[in-house]
Formats: sequence, structure tokens, C-alpha cells
Amino acid sequence: MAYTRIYENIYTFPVIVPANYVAGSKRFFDPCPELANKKVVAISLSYDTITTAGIGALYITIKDNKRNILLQNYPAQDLDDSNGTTNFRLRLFNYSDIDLNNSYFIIQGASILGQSTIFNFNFYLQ
Amino acid sequence: MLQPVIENTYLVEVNLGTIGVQKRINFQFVPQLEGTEIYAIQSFSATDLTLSPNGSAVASTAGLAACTVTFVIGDDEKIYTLPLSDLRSANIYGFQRMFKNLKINLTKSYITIQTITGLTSNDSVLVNFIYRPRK
Repeated sequence: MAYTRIYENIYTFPVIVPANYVAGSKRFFDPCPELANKKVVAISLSYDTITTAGIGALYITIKDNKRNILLQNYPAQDLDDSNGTTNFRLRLFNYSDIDLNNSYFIIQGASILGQSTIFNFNFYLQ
Repeated sequence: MLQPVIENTYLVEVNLGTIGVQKRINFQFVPQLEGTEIYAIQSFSATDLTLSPNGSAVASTAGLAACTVTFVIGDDEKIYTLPLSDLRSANIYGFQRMFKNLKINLTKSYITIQTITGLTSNDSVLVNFIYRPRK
């Protein structure tokens, strides 16, 4: 980033992929009441045990409270702040009504999945 | 360079089918993008994304450099043979290439394979449209 931004609060939301996850199927996120009535101004993603190849095949769909699709198959790799690249730019949003429970992700390629593969969403709140 | 505040995005997958020099592949009709204002566009290569949302192989970085895209506004080819590599964030310091509220006629817009270097038949090209819904 060209300069440091200071945010009021960053909420990290861990996502666990179950061992019986079928590659390419929709997996809905758990409810996240911490986001209620909060304004999300940026989103990044960092990973724990998911592989780089897994992140490269991970797509996120985010809906709002009215079930409108905000992000349709957004590549997680573009939000990834932990891949060591100097090219990372924090992606900016202006959402106040994300419904994470009705949002989902898909991961393609069974061979790149491991049990309890996990990554974290970082929501920058204002 | 400015960064957009993202309102909505839609990732479009264009499968190249059997590759050939000067082959044109039109975009499919995407109802969600009809009449919207597109203000940033991004492309990705296999270095970024290992598999497409449909599970297809993604065009390599060299393959992306072998393709151009033409966006039609109304009936005019307003953005003509833009290198797809120029829309890839990793090539432009992580930024998303911004445009001035384009109302793209997607079904008339197309990708052209300029050379088959780095491409394999049935590779997919992924284009992420960042847009504002129609009012």
C-alpha cells in the first residue's frame, strides 16, 4: 500500500472446510453476528492450513441482507494478504449489510483439499 | 494510482475451446451485467488461479499475453484489442484497471487469440467485472 490506513476495528473470521467437503460444491459460511450493523470498508483473506493452490481455486460469493449478490465468484487469491507478494493491495468496499450466513464459497479440485482446511477472513470495520 | 471502492463484481469465464491464431471468442450473455456501469476490470492467469470456478484450466501468463480483448459499447468497438495482460493485477502492481463507467455490450465483445503461444485448447480466460448496478 502506498500509505498506512488506520481502521477502528478488524474482525477476523475463521472458516473451516469440513473433511467431507465435495470440491466445487457451495459451502455456506457460519453466521457472523459481529458484522451486524457494521460498515465493512475493506476485506482481506489470510490462510492457515489451506494450500496456495487451494487459495487459487477458491471463489467467494457474498450477499447482502436483501439476498442481492455483491460479489459473484470473487477470486480469493485477489484478497490474499499472506502470499508474500509485494503486489498485494487491500481491496476496498463500502458494505453495511453483508449477510455472511447466506454467502458461500466454492473450492475446485479435490486433490488440493486437506482435512479441516482453514483460512481467515479479515473484515476491516468502521 | 487510484483504487476502486468495489460495489459489485461478477467473474466471467470465457472458454477458448480449440485454439487457433486470430480466433475470436465472444462473451456469453450475462444478465447481471446488462445495463450496468462497469468501472474496473481484472483478468487472471494460471499463476494466480489454479482452476476456474467450473474446474477448467486457466490460461497461463504467457497465454494471457497472447490474447487481446475488444469491448463494444453500443455498436462501437470503443476498447479495441486491449492486451489481456494489461488487466492482470499482478502485472500492474496489484491495482485494478479502472474505466469510466462503461456500459458494455458483452455479447458483441470478444477475445482474440493473437498467437497460440502458451495456450492450450479449452483453457479458460477469467475476467472480473467490477460494476455499479443499473439504477
